[in-house]
Amino acid sequence: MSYTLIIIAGFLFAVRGSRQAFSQRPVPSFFWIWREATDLFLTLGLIAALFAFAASFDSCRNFVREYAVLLTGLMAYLLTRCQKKSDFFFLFVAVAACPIFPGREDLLSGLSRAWALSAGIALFQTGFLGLRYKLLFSRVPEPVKGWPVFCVLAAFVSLALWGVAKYVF
Amino acid sequence: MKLPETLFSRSLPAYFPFVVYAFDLERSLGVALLVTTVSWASLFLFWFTRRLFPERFLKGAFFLWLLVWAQIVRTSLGLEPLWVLSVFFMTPLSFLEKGNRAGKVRVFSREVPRYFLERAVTGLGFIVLVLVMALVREGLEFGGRGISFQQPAAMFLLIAALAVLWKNQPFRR
Repeated sequence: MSYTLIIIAGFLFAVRGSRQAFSQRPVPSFFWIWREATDLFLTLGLIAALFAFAASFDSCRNFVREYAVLLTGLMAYLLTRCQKKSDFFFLFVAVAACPIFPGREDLLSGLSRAWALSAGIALFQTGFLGLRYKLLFSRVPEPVKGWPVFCVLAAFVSLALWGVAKYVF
Repeated sequence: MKLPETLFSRSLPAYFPFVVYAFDLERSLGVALLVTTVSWASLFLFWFTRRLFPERFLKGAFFLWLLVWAQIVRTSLGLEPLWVLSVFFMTPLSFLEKGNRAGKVRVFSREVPRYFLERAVTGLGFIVLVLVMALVREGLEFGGRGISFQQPAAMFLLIAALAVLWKNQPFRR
């Protein structure tokens, strides 16, 4: 799992995970961001645990490895629908589980990757949505409103987080 | 004529998974073609068959269709399934929900060709966007002697520059 995946996921969660970022009066909630990150970690962790459990049986290990995308997708669908999460949340869990659990046997490693991903996304969103909220009270020139200023903010937050992340990755 | 901003807004989120992949020009183009084809196929299939599904299972069927594609591509090409996120952003889900305006449009109506044309243009716009970004990236990297795009910040700044250019297109008569 790369640092880029965390940053891109954080950005997509911020602009497409909810309608906050593009609305006229976004209200960034610190509690909401970290609750979503905890839900993401618990969902990914549960999938990792189920995979590790299934892979511990010789008879179904190959099947689990071969159809990993379908199986993670079905598990993610059930888990996210129970939590009433957004479509993007579900699809992200389904597709991110494959790159972050490469071996699928080592549960501890899988859980630590899930934790790094969730915490990274939450840190990114905290910085990004906080700055986005502050921008509402500044005079942003019309030609750079919208996507340009979003991307510049994301670039700055990702540079700032790299200072922390370089010790992890 | 000024190109509409909605075209850029629809294609741009679909581009972000490509930042994670960091492919070269050829592979980027291949995956972009795959994304566009699956997106068009999904729209075509689900537009004409949506009345056959019970309403509460329609979205589930759409996501199962995406997961099956992701599984097939991973098994045959070894490509990690992040590209499915691009298909998700490219395909309008509004017509799968009855409450939305697009969901109320009849399967065969006069609005359908215009709706499909808009989506076809979005797909082509997405391919052009991926092509332009890959070319600019390779040009600026200059064989490893130029700017490094290992950091996502560099890609974000590049996309910001492109977004400014798109937003401030001069009108042409």
